Amino acid sequence: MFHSPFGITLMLSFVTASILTLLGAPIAYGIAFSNRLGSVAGEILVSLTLVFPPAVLGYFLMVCFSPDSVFGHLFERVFGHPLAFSFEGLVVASIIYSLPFAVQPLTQSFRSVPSSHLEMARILGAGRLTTFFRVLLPISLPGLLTGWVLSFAHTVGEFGVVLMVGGNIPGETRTLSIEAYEDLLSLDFANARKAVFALLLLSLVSLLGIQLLNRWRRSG
Amino acid sequence: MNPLLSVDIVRSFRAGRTIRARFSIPKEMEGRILVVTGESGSGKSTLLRMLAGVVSPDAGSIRWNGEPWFDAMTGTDRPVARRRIGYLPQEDTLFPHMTVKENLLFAMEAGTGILKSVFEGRRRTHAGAVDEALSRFGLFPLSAEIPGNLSGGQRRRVSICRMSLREPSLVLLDEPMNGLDPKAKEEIGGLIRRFLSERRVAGIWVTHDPPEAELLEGARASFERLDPESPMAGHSLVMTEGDDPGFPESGRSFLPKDPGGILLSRMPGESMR
Repeated sequence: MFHSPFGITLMLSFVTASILTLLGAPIAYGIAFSNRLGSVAGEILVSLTLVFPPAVLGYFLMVCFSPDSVFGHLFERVFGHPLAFSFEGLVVASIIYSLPFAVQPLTQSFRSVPSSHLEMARILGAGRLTTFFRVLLPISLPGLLTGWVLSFAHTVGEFGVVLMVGGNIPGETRTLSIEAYEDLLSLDFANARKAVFALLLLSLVSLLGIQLLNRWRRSG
Repeated sequence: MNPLLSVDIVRSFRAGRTIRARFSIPKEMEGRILVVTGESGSGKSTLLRMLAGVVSPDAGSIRWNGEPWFDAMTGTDRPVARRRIGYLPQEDTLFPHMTVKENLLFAMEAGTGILKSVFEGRRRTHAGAVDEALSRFGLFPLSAEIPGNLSGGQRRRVSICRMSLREPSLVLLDEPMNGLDPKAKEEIGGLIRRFLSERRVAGIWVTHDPPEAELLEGARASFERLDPESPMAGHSLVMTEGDDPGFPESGRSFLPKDPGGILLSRMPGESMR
């Protein structure tokens, strides 16, 4: 199942969203609690991929993934295969492409936690780590989950970057959106419809998830 | 003999406003309160936050029993957790994702680190102390509730219980009666009074409400405008009652006129019966 376009899309989106959630938490913390200059600089850096054309991002990623680059060379020596045109390459590209979708909701959530709660945790003896894991993160859970769902949904629909970085290798890097594109090119409308329907289904489920999280946020 | 607390601090804000406080609290103040009044924005809460250590003064020093908590000259700034402060802010600071019991356990465990407390079996000891505190404060029936399901008075009671578990050396009370109905005021006032006198802990009680301040018995200080014409210039803490010039090295000292008398004998709410 995981070698079908649906399975690859599901796996790619799940892995990307999960890694982004782990990576995004410290980044969001840095943005939410640094001084004004650091906060603005962080927000701009994280949001860059929102305005970057996918082709430009894809090009730069391919340059980085190339065995001639330090990063690409290191990866090939450790894992025995190049990063470009591999599932792992898709994951790295998706993480960079979907970064703002995980970081922004969590940054907002961190900022909305009253500073009096964080001060009280410190007064009660908690260090930074205890305050982060036992107070800040649990109160910001809806933002964390919203970030996961948004980056999942965004990865599901990726096309340009995935095509450039992953190529179109069946069973390895062919996701649903590339499958739909391929089927359309070969005038296989029946299969294209299936791929499009599956994409729609995943998007609708994600939307439902976001709606439920928003309700939880408002009620909490 | 060193005073219990000696404070000589200045804090300035961007708009040019300045807060100054220079006073000391003698050892005789253990179990008693210093009532601090002042108009809104005069710096009452900032003073408490500077004493707690969550905000640093720009200049000056804070000493507890002669030990520096803060000293701008030497760069000393004792971490918040090591000041052993009991702080009751005016806003609700119970953690909303924890039950009443978990909020209390947090106060016991936060300093030791969660993993350490679990591995060393301290959690069970903590749970015992928390259960005892729950009964003492009459909170046992509420132990599994989350703060969102409690009334204002109940939340304040849990906050005081949580504060007591830290065994504070100094208690800072920022408008503790704010938003409470007369019955809750009476209950919470009594709770604070008992806590301070039983544990022999000094308290600083901040209020903007003159009738509330009138009902409190203790040494008094008030934030007065540096420029009588404009509140924007800032405020300075001035002792208004209970002056004892016995501690000139740290400015004015707050000692009740009648050190042997029972302070906090009348609490807000009690007169409203």
